[in-house]
Amino acid sequence: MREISSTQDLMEYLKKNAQEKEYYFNKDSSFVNELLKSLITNLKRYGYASCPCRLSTGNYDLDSDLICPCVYMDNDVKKYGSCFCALYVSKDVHDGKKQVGPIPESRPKDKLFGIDYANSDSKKSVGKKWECDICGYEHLGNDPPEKCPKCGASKKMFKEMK
Amino acid sequence: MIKHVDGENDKESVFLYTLSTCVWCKKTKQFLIDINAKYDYIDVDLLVGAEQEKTMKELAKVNPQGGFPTILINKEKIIVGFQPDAIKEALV
Repeated sequence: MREISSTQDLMEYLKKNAQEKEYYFNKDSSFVNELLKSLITNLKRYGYASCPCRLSTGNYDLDSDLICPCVYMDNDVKKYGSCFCALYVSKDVHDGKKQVGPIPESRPKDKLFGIDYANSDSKKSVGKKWECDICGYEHLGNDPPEKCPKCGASKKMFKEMK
Repeated sequence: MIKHVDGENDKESVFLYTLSTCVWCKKTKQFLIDINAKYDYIDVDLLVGAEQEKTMKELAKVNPQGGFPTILINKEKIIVGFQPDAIKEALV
């Protein structure tokens, strides 16, 4: 498995994801490119490609719902025709049958503002380090993530690093 | 960390809570430049620790619904998201 390090890699990964779920990328390719660049910025900054339109903390456990495609994507595309960022759109929007405007935030309020900033430095608050056996993604936390945010491998593929 | 962008249209005070990674925030900043409006903004994702916490608490008061960009006009009206028509209406 290749490391995701370029916008091209990330685009392929996310496009595949969209196809599986029968969603589409926004038709505006320069807009999509800007979003991908921002996702790469977050990948480098936090270690995972979290939503560029929302504030991440740098603590995986607090941000895991924001890793693109975020957990709110599915409902937002169904309800409004696009995800929060407008990276993913529905078939109707893709075909030009429907227009989309700004959509409301559906992430719970306690996640938006109730962030425990004092403990948000994951490196300080957790002791264990895990590595994905498939792609080498490193995760800090008491437990490995349910799914590797980089390559999608399952929890059991994570090994504790000494 | 508040940044200022100059413009000729300075009848109103315009303050933006933004993320440096958010494409809609970038579009909003560009739109304000296009209509020659003076504005201030803060990229919340580039702040660290207590400064970020303080700014997020401030934003929660201004816009309990959350979301970037949040545009605060004359310290009373808010516009959330890239809404050029609403911005124009509020500023012109």
